[in-house]
Amino acid sequence: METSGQNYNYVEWKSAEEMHFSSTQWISELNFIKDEHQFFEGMLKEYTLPIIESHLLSKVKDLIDHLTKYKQKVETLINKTTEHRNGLQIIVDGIDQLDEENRYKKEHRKLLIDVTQFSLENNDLKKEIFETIAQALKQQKQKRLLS
Amino acid sequence: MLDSAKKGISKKTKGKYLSEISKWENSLMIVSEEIKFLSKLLGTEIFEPNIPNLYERLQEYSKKLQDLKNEEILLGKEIEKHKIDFAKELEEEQKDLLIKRTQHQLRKDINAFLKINSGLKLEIFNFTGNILKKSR
Repeated sequence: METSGQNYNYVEWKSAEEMHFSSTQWISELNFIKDEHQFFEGMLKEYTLPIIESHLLSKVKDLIDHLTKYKQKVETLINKTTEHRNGLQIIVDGIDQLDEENRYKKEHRKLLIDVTQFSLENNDLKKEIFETIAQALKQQKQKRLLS
Repeated sequence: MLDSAKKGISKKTKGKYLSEISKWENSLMIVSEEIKFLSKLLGTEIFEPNIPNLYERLQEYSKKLQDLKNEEILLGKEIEKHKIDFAKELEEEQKDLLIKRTQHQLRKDINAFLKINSGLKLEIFNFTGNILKKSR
């Protein structure tokens, strides 16, 4: 995924092919995140016994709330990016529409920032989920060894 | 040799390369954390026991994760070596050629690695997601 360090000029000079490629890549990455969310949600909601026993229930509830929000966010971003990709026609139709083309490039830049930002936030959430589940598993193991 | 090839890499391109390298490092760090988590997950008794070939499947995934981890370490080393290339005192043209070639090769290798990683993760999610022990 591209970094937010890329500036406006970079987007301004991106070719139609490059913008199409980026949009397609974002959609694929966002769809992958969707699959990940489904797995994490299943894990947090269904694998509840060790979580209850480890007293991490409120933490897990909080993570599920976050996941629910992120699921909505990812859906919105996929729709926006797909719509954006489909609008590329403006750039490649050979007709000079400077305002429209600039608007398209601005939209591309905005999406670049949004998708990158979302990806960073999502990585943080994932890290928290990993740590919480790992903690629950550890406590469960300790409990088993003591019993 | 063409003039454009002789010209070497501009400062701007070098900046882009360095930013790409930093992005690769972040990606590898995330992958490393994911591998650690998934390996731990596969090694715990959190799955329904009566699944056919459960042990073999878990072993197979653990092995694949270990191979991926080894690959991730190798790529990390390659990136480190490449970063040193930027600081090497070589003749300008020779240095640019080296940096350009390595950047392209690494881009190819890392993209292929990330693709394999995503495929494996998805496979593990699909398999384990359905066989987690439910609360009784």
